[in-house]
Order: sequence, then C-alpha cells, then structure tokens
Amino acid sequence: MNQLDNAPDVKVLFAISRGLIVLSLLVAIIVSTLVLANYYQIQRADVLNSPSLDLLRVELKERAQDTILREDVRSFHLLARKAYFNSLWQVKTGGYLILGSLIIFVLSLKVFNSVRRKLPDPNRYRITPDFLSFSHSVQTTILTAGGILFTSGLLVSILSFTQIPDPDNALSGLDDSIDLSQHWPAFRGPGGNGIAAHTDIPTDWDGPSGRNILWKTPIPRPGYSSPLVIKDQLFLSGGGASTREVYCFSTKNGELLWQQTVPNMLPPDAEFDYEFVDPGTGFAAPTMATDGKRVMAIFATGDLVCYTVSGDRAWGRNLGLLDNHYAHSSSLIVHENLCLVQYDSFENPRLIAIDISNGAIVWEVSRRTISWSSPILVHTGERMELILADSKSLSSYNPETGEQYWSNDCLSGEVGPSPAYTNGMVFCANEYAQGSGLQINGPGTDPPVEIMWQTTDYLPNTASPVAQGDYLIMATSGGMVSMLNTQSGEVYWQEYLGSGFYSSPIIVGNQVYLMDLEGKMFIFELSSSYELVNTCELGEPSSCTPAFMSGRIYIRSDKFLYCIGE
Amino acid sequence: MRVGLHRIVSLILGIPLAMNQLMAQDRFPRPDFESEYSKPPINTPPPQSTFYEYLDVLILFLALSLASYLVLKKRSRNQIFLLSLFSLAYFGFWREGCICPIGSIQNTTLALFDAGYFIPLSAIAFFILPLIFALFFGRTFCAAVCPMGAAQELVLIKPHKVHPKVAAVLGLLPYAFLGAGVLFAATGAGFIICRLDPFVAFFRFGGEFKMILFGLLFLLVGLFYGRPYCRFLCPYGVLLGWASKFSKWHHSITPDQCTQCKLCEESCPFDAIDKPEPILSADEQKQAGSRLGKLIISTLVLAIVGGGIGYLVSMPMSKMHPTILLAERVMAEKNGLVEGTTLASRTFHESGKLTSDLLTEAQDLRAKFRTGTVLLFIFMGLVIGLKGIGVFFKRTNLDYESNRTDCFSCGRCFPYCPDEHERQKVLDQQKDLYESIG
Repeated sequence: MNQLDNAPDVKVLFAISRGLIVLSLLVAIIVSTLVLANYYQIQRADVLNSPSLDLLRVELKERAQDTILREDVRSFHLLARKAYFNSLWQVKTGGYLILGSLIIFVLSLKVFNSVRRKLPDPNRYRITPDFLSFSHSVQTTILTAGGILFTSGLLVSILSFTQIPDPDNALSGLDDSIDLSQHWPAFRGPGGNGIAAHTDIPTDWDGPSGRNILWKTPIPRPGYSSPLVIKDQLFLSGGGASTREVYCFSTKNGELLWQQTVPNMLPPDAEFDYEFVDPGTGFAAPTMATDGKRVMAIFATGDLVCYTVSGDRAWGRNLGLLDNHYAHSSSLIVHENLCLVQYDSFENPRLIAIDISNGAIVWEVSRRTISWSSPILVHTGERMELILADSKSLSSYNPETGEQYWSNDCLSGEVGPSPAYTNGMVFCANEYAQGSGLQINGPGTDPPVEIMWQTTDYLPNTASPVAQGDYLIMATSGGMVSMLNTQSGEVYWQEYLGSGFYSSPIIVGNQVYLMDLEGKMFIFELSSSYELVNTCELGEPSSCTPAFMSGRIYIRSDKFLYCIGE
Repeated sequence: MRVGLHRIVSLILGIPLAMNQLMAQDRFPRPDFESEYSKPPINTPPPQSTFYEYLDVLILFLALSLASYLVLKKRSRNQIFLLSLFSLAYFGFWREGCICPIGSIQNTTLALFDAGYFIPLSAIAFFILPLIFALFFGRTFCAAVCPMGAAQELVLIKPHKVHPKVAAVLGLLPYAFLGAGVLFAATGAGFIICRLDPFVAFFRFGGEFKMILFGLLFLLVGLFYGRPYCRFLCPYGVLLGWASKFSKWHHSITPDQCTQCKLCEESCPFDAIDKPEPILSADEQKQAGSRLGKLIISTLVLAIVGGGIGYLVSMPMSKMHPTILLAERVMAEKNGLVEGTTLASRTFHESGKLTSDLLTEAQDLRAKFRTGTVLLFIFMGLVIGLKGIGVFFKRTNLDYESNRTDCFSCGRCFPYCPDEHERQKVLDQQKDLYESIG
C-alpha cells in the first residue's frame, strides 16, 4: 500500500513530478547535445590558430610598416576572438541550463519517489541469518580483503623500482661529497693558505718547446683571477666593461666545457663608471671559490654569481657599488655553506657571508677601510678563524657568525698581499709599510694576538707571503725573494730572482714554486739556504697564481690556460 | 583538430560543472604585440580577510548547536534536512567547500609535523568543533552541517541496501584513507584528502576532469546507495565515529521505550540500525569465544605482517611525494632511462639546484615515508583485525538502536516509530492548548 491509494490530492503531485522528470530530462539531453556540438565546432574550427591569420602575421613581419595590413590583422584577430568567446559563452550558458534541469530532475524524482513510498511492512523484511554463521562469513570476508590488500602491496613493492640510491651509497659522480682539501677550491688553494695538498708536481717544463705542456687552450676573455680545480673541472672568470663571463674547462684536454655570460645585476639607478676600472686590475681580478658543488664568481661591478659545476646558474646578486680606485680584487673563499666576501671599500667596507644554496646574505659586518687582499681560513688549534688584511689592520673573524675575534693595527698603505699562517702565527706584509709576525694567543687571552717581530725590508706589493713551519717566503714586485724565520723574523736568505712577482709563491712539499711576471717559474727548496731546483719558462707573461693538483700545474697567462704535467 | 575523448566524456557527464574549467583551460592567449603596447601587469588578489574565517567558525558552531538541538530535542527530520540544505549552500557553494573539517585533518597533521607550517585558528576550530560535538551529541555534524553529506542526502532517491560483506570490506577504506591522508600530510607529500575531494569541483563550478568524473560517480551511486562517500571513504567520519561511540547523548530511533514493532528496521538507508539479537546459548558462546581468540591472534599477526609490508611498500608509495617523484625523474633522465624532460625536471635544471641535494632531500623524505608507511600498515592490520572482532560486539543490544559509530543522526528513522507519532500528537495538543489559552 502506498500514499497514492488513500490520498487523492497526492495524485496531482505525482502527476506533476512525473511530468517534470520527463521534461527536465528532455531539456538536459537536448541542451547537452547542442553544447556538445558547439564545443566540437569550437575545437574543429580552431579560430585562434587560423591559417589565414598566421599567413597575415607572417606577411606583417615582412611588411612591418604596412599600417593597413596591421589593421587587417587586428580586425581579423578581433573577429576570431569574438567568435571564440561567443562560443564559450554559449557553452557556459548551456552548462548552467543543464545544471538547472538536472536539479529539477533530481528534485522531481525525489518527490515522485516520496509519494510512491510504501508503508513499512515488517513481514516482508529479509530474515537475518544465524548470528554466528553470519558473523563468521563477514569476518572471513574482512580478513580476505585484508589479505588481498597486503598481497597487492607486496606485489606493488616487488614490481616497483627506484632510481634514487640508498643513503648509504655515496652520491659521488653526481656533483658533491668531495674533500676540498684535496682540490684547489680557492685563490692559493685550500683555505687560501698557499700550500698544495699534492706533492707529485712536475719540476721541469718548457712552454716555447712544449715540453711537459699537456695542453694549452685560449681563454675567451681576459682577467687576473687564478684557476680553481675540482676533480676534472677547472674554473676561471674573465671579462671587461661589456661582458663578464665564467668558464669551465676540462682538465683532461682543456676543452671549454661551458661558458656563461653573467647578467648585469647592477640596480637600474646605479651609476657604475666602467671607464674608472684600472686596467691593471680589470673586471675579473678576484679568484672564484667553490664548495665542490657550485662555483661563485665576483666582478668589479659588485655582481656576485653562482653556478653549479655543471653550468646551471643557481643565483646572482649585486653587492652594491664600491668606492675603489683600482677596482675590486679580493678573492672569494668558502666556509661550509657560506661564501665569504671581503667587500672592502673606502665607503661602507663590509665582510659579507652569503648562503651558497640560495644567495641570501646570512650575515654581514662592517669593516674599517679599503684593501685589495684576500681572506684566508685557518684552524688556530681551537677554532676556525677567517683572517683579513686591510689598509690599517690585520683582523680575525668567526667565519660562521662574523664575530670579530681580534684585530691589530700592523698595516698601512694600499694592502694587496693576503696574510699567511703557520703554527699559531700569522703574517702580513705590505710594500712601503712593514711586515709583521703575530702570535695568536687564543680565545680568552689578553691580548688575543701580539706582534712578535716586524721588518721593513723587501716587502711584497701584490704577491702574498706563504709560511710553513720555520719558513716564511715573501716576494716583491721588484724581484726580490726573502726567506725568513717565522718565529723571529730573521732573514735566512734574500735573492733577486726574475723580473718581479705578482703571482704568489706556493709551497709544494719541501719546495716553493714562484712565477715571475715573465712567466718564469722558480722552484727552490724550502730551507734556510737558497737552493734552486729548477727554472721553467712558460714563454709568455703571467700575473696569476697557478693551481697545483694531481701531478699538474694549471697556469693562466694573459691569453692562455696551460696544463703542465709529465 | 583532434578532440580528446576525455573532453567529450567530460561534456556529456559534467558539462554544467566543467564549463568554468574549460573556460580556464582554453582561455584566450594574451595578444602578442610587438610594439606600441605594453602588457598590463598581472595582479594577484590579496588574501582573503580573516573576518570570513572567524565568521565560518561562528556559523559552524551555530550550525552544530542547531543540528544537535534538532536531532536530540526537536527530533525533526524536515528541519534537519532544511539545515543541511543551508550548510550545502553556505559551506558548499558559498565558501566553495574550503575549509572543511575533513580537510582540516591534514592541516592539523602538518602543523604537528612541520614546525614551519602556520595553521590558521579556523582550521583548528574546524577540526576540533565537530569532534567535541560528536563526543556530546553524536554525529550531528554529518546530519546537517557537512555540505558533502548534504549533497548526497539530496540526491538519494531510491535507497538500496549494500550487502553486509561488501559494506564490511568497503568500510575499511575510510581507515586507509585517513591513514594515507595523515601520512601524506606529515611527510609534506600533499593534501590527498583534498585532492580526492569528489564534491569540491561541484562547489566551485569547476575542477579537474577526473575530479568531476569522480564526483559524478559518487552522485550517481548516491542515487541508489545512501551517502557512499560518508560511509566508504570519509576519513573524518572515522574520527567522528570514534567520538560518537562514546557520546554522552545520542540520536535515538524512538523518543520512548522501544516496543520492538520492527517498523523502523528497514528505515535507515545507511544500515546504521542495530537490531536486537537473541542471547547466545552456552555452546554458541563457547564457539564464539574460540573464534574470538583466533581473531585476536590474527589481529596481532596482521599488524606484524602489515608492518613488514609497509616497509616494502614505502618505496612505491613515496613516489607520490612531488620531490621524490622529481628525483626519480631527474635520475631516470640522467641514467638515460627516459627521453626528454618534463616541466618539473626542466624547472629543476633551470633552477641551478644540485642533483645531489635533490637526492639527499628525496632520501630523507623516503626515510620518513618508510616510518610512516610501516605505521600505516600496522594500523591497517589492526583495523582489519579489530573490524572482524567488532562483528561480535556489534550485536549485543536488545532493542532497535541507532549504531553510535555509524549513525549520521539524519533522523530518517524518526517518522517510522509509532511512539514518535504519539509524541507529535501530544506536542500538537499542547500547542493547541496553549493557543486556546491565548
């Protein structure tokens, strides 16, 4: 028995709902068909990509000044857009019509069913099966479903594979996980200390005849930055007023693997005087630095840029204009995830730490004055110290936070040489000023650092001193080389060698490699008496400091990059 | 010009709702002027005012209060239905289905696992309020406040029963969905509960084709089987069910003493009425006890096996995390297993980020996934086992009662109870009396 049997008024409702069901369904079907046809037509006609319009566009490119043709294209385009949007409007309106009719359909159906609803009749209800057997069958079904779920999971896991190696497997071969101390990651090698990790370095070559010159390759643009070497990749920067670039060479054969032009990141309103850059410094004097995964380069414009070792640009930023009459020449250095920039200038000199992963400034601290020297990173026994020289002082900082540990006013003039360090003593020197040996007393001491000795004889102008054990080597731009005792400053020997030195001496094992401005390398023993091992000609001038790694020397001359090896 | 099959199907099935989406996909490209015209900048609208968030919370609270009143005190099916229509209109179409308590599970989870994620207060309120109400009044949120439930209520035309075995199996899905939703939110893989929301495309008059199809499927099934999403997928329903099971007050079929007239027995389209069952004999109790013991052991075994399977499954499951998926793609490209690049891999390469960094991140995420998947499968093992055990405990009642866990408190069963009709008569008489008194 249902409501229709004893409620005559409901019959009207029944009839109306039935009619609405049919009507709304018909409307929905008809409008759907029309909309479908319309949509198909839009897709088929593809008015936006009309060949005629394309032809007109091509024609317009050839006759760019033809204003009539330009107007024709615009009119045609407008017509196409109108047709397109009109069709879309029709589709959308049709959609709402269908939605409305479907709502009416559902509501009518609900009314239709409700008036036909039968009264409950318990006698016709299904009989619940025996509880235990019923529950048993349901439980079995649930457990079976669980079994299927787990088996499916097992199958999926068996059939799946991954390209991601396990964490236990080193990600070598990709782009990371290298021990930087075994590479040449900065100016003057690891930590900027001027001491090579590899001692299997050749002692004999001749550039003009090609003896032991493994390869020689041209460098696209000039620069005084020295090479970096990571694994089998060598990085250099170069450039001038118009273009600054970063290069990656293969150490295997000197092939230029990639070359990236650094975009100009100076703010639009910055007034950088390109003519003011001293040719003796150039736009690419600072040596790059690397964390083994990325390489960073900085230029005279203040543009600091980072590339992955594979040549993808990671980030770039401009650090602001410098008040520097020669142009910026301080090299970069990396400590863990930070790229440290000695951004000294007459105005607003700063030490800046940049997050290598994203180029963000992590911290920056103000400094006192200008310099052209580069930072060194040393472990003084109890902590890592970042030691910087400027035109007044030698200062030490916490490389992680920028906190200044100590400072000593032992310098003056236009300081270009970087400091040197060995056995708790740090050394700095500058031409027409003085050379100093300072004892670092360590944290919590007073004074934290003190001058042990000073000298005013034969001091460097550009080449940085280097120290190891009892020996400190200094080379002047006039060609004088001095070997001093690190503890007392006593001069072991002094010799005039070559035509003058801008390239810094590097200690390789028990020998010192020092190249003069003519490209002549002097190799002598690290000892208290002058013992020349050999002199080797490159055959052309060079002012850069070579890189020493894995049995090879990489030298940047004015125009070429040399690889020396046996 | 090829017309994709999916577009045709989309039009046939989802024209009304797909229109905006089609418009969005096929939007006319910006004119390409070579000179004389500078393209206007694209403006991003500012974020929505927090006023609406607090208004939503207030309306949720009021709606829950009213729903609880209508279910427990007023016992009016029609008014519950009207309130659900309001909820559908407001939380569904006006607020476009976001934020909703179902999705807020993920916000809450992410906030617990990611210190850097800021969870809005409204999300916390949306997560907690319905659960608190369920603890006191049962699932009144499902009855009249949830817009998704309301949409399914609306389309339910000719209800049919789902076979108990099918219902039991499908009843496992909400637990799996809940677990997966928590796992994915905790690992930052995304909000899959929202991604698989079948109704949001309807509420917004636009969405992905597959989502429209998914929603249409639920609505079509919902014509004949009541609330398929609520019963067989809704992860929040699991939490509400747990809270409702221990609710202080709960919806009851009869306003008085059950006379066991059986008239309500088939009234619930959601199979949420527990019938009285005869007390088991001693033999049957022994038999049931033996089986219960086996089930408890099975549950423990399932949990242990589940943990093992979860460990194995973690690798394929973790590929649903976009970072891991990207790492897989980049490595496949590097190893020459695939040709070309995808938009994601191109973007990665152009970003200058390191493959090793990506892999390290992927490895860390995979480790998190491994832990999460093991826990998820242990959870599923326990759920499967306990569901089986629950079959025994489901039928211990002596009267016709709404199942506290499964009942949506929709009030469909009210008019089937003769005592309810008597109550209404008394109420009407009282009303007449008050009116005659003036």
